[in-house]
Amino acid sequence: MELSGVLENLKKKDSFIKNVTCWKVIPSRKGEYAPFPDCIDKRLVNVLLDKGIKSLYSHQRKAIDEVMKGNNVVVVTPTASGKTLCYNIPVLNEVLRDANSRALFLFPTKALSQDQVSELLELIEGIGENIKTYTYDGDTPQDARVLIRRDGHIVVTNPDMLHTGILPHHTKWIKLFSNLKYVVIDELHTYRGVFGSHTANVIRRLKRICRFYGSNPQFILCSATIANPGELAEKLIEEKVKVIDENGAPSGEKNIIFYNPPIVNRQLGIRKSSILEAKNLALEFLRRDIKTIIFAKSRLAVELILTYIREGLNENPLFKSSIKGYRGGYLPKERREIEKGLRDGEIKGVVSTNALELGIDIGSLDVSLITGYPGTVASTWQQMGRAGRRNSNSCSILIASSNPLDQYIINHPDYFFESPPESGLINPDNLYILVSHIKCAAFKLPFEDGEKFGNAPIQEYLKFLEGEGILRHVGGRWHWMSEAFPAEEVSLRSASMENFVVIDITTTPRVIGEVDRASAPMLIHEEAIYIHDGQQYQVEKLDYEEKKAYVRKVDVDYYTDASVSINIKVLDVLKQDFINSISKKYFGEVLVTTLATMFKKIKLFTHENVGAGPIKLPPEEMHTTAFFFTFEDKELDPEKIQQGLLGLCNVLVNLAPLYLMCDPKDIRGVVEIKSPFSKQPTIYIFDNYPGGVGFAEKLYDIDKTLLKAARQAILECTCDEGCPSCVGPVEDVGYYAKESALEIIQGVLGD
Amino acid sequence: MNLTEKLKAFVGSSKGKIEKDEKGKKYYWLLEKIKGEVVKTQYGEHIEKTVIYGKQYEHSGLKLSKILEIPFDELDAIFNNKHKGMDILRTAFLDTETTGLAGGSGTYAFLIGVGFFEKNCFKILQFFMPDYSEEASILVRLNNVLSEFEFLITFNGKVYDIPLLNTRYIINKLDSPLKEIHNLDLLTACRKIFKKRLKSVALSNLEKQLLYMERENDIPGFLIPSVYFNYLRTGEIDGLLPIFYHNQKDILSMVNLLYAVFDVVKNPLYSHICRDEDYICIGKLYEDRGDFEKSIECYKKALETESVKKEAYVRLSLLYKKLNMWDKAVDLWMEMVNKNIDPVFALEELAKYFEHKEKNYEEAVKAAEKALSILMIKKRLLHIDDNKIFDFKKRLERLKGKKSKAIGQIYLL
Repeated sequence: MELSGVLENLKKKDSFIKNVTCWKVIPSRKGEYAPFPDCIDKRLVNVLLDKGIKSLYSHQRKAIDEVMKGNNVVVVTPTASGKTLCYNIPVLNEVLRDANSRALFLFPTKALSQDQVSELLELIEGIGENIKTYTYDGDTPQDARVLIRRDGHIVVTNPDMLHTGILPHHTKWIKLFSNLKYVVIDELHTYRGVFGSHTANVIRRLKRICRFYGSNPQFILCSATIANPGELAEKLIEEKVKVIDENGAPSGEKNIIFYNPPIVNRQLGIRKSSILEAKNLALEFLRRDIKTIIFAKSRLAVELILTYIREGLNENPLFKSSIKGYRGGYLPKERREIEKGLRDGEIKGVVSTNALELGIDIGSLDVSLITGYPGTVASTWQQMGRAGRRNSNSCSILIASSNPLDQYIINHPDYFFESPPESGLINPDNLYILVSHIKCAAFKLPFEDGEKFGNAPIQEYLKFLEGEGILRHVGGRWHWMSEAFPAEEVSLRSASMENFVVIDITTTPRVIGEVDRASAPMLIHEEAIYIHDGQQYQVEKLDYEEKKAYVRKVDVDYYTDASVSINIKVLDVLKQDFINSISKKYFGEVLVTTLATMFKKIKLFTHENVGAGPIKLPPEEMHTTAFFFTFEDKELDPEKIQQGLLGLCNVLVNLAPLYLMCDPKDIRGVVEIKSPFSKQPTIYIFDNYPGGVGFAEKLYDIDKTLLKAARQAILECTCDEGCPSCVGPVEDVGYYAKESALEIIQGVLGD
Repeated sequence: MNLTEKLKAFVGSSKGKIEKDEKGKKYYWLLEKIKGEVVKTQYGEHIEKTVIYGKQYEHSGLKLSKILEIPFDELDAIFNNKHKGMDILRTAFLDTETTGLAGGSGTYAFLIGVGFFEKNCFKILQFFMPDYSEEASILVRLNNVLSEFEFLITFNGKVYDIPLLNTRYIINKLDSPLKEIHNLDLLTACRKIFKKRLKSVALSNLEKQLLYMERENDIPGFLIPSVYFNYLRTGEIDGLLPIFYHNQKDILSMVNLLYAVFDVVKNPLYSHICRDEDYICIGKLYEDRGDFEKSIECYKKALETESVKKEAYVRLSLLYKKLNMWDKAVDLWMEMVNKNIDPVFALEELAKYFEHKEKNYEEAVKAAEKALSILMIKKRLLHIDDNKIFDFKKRLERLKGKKSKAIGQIYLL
């Protein structure tokens, strides 16, 4: 049955339509086309024609024209609008024109690089010229590396590899750096926060090396929809950038439906599980052979939904096997197969985490179901964009969970449709980040007197590093004077890259998946039910030292869910001051301990609690910096204080990124009603990054500004007792949170 | 708080704060101490020290001039040298001391030593970078000196010194002499010969084990960068002297090692340097280059060494097989079976031999059955499930088929 038929049925189905809070139809639009520019090599045009691409979309043409004029461009159009051609055409055209030309492609993850190479290779194969395209990352074998350095026309890599593997060894890459014409940065919107700030400095280093070898590459960037693509691009590459955001790709009619699962327990306000609702809706579509993607917020949810859907398709085994799961932790080979299956149409349905939100090519799907609000407006649009064909209609359904933030969004659709997507914020001149990259840059090539690092004047930094004995100033240059290899000490991402492998020992042992270090205590503690591709496994042994989990196939009717506690300990106070006569503020080093304490066994389908057990694993520790402040507690009762602390902490953590120019995930907050350090109620906001990157310190300096902004945000909010847009949902923080948060601010600011 | 204060507060370490030595240019003191001279080039100035070792000079028991007598083409195989006409007079020895061991473009070579023969004497030139600003100066001098030579002998230079120097030339935008010169790496050569006997083929261990040499008061390599940094910061020169000395010793030891390698390769059976496990390595070396006579000699010698005995039997017998010296091969395999040295291998070879060469299927069956019984015992006692068992069973099946066919043929006759 056609999608429109199913939608008509849904419209008539009372049990469905009564839960719909919004049904928006975005009309179809015609494509705007433009011919290939004359300057494009005929061989390339012919290959495109062979592939059925008869002309360009207007935005592709515009992007290519701007690149040909020598401008840097950023292309901001929705998923599946043919962004890759905006860079593949100019790059291939240039290499065809001059075989010495080189290009560097940067993707945020390894998976994306591999996907891109296969697409590029297809084009190149068609052209029939020997244009050498390689991925260069941690997985590249040693012997291939030599070849890539010398001969690679197009080198595809990620910022981390550029940082530790390529730039420090620039003398081995003379060919690339001397002839670099284009740098392509795809998925620009992922370069936010700490990661983006680091990457901006890696780009400064890249440009510096290019200057040394006499090249001056042009940048071509692509981004999903964010509020400030031009600004982010210009901050990242520190050059003028032309923004191209008029989408010329056609699109079919699109239905966006907000669905709020019905309340099953009015007293407690409990709604029907979004997971079960997602399953039911997915079956509606899948049973009629309509290609569907189901997004879920966690790995566990992915596996649960997958299990349920397969169960629901029991009557049709052929169908059952064409539904796959997709998430981080599946092995690369498995993921490539799933991506291919989706493109070929062999796979009808996929249940995924936001891993498929990024630009991996999986072709077009008809329906996307989003289980739970993804957290940001931009992410939601990205996931909705996965459904949508050029010529036929499509449908996206957002299914709310009971989570207050979800409830807020689902009941205020206008808020969602009218808000601009989030901004990408970076601060390349962050003290800590900048210093670490100045070190890396000086290691590669001595700084000259008066030389700037990107737009940053750095003489003072150089003098400081000389004082520390790391650099030596002689003959007008600043030389590296240490045995250390600085790039190895700097990680571009907050998360550690170490992975645990999951080994199935049911028969001959084999590796079935990976789990990142931070999630390991939650997902693969002993006795945990680990679900992979819909199959349940029980963890028999977790070898924490060797980073291996041994699992065995089981068939049980429950899954496990772990609880985590966060603890903070003050190690050293670096600065302190009074905010007023009673409240003190501090900036210092802290140890944040995350500990998985216990797990619950939760029955499938009913989700009732059927057992529990302890988790015995060492805590994950992070040494970082925090801003924290105290106030006097004598006038409020402890329950109110607790709620007020939580509420205020939420507001501060939500507002702070605006002042820090960071990503919301870069900082975290914790409250203590009686801190062992200060013996008073205390709110901590810490850098979610080992060693700290200076956010907390900035907060220490702007404490009053921030508190005043928090007061204003709370006062201006029209809710009664708290909502996700101020202190947080009442269900989370309590009925007194709003009132008591205001009292706390009053107390701290008043004098 | 201004930026510098901030940097000090948040990034700075409390230790190792350096007050810059404003007096600068202290290195003239160094000249006196090391008896060197200042050399000016168009890129700056640096210090050079020359040491000349006379005709009779002995380093660790070897008269250096002995090396002048070596017929060098003997060494081509061990160095994989494809450029004929190696000549010691057109060969330089090179060793660098650097500011770090990690590599990468921030590591500098602050002392470069080059040794070569000149008029029967051995001469070492050392180029010392008195400060970073003078790097181009030593590089350009090195280029001058090396332009006289066609071959360059290093110890691990292929992996370390040469790429590092190439990087230095690139960063200084100078032409590198190292692209033209043929590199012969002693570490690679020594690894080929001594890796089985010696646990480590580090230079210090080779000196100990092959040259019976023990360095006294030598500065450990890992301290060298920090001594140089200390000199730059404080002008303290005393610590530098042992580095010059260390560098000279490294170069002299390379000459000795080259002689040692030559001695071994020329006549392994009479060389006092090689013994035991070395013979299997040398035998293999000869086998690879097609000198089977010498190879057989070495393998025979290796039969005497317990730890490589099994490998020697296997290699020697296979070499005989390759050379169609079947009698010798069969003798060895029989011996292996009798002495219980990898009997399964030997029986398998025997079975093959009887089957294909002799067409004696009865003997072939016997050999295969014996091998199978050994494997079965192993399986019972040690629970080792060898997939060879399967192979032998198949072999036996085939052999029995052939055997009965052969018998049938006899009856027919």
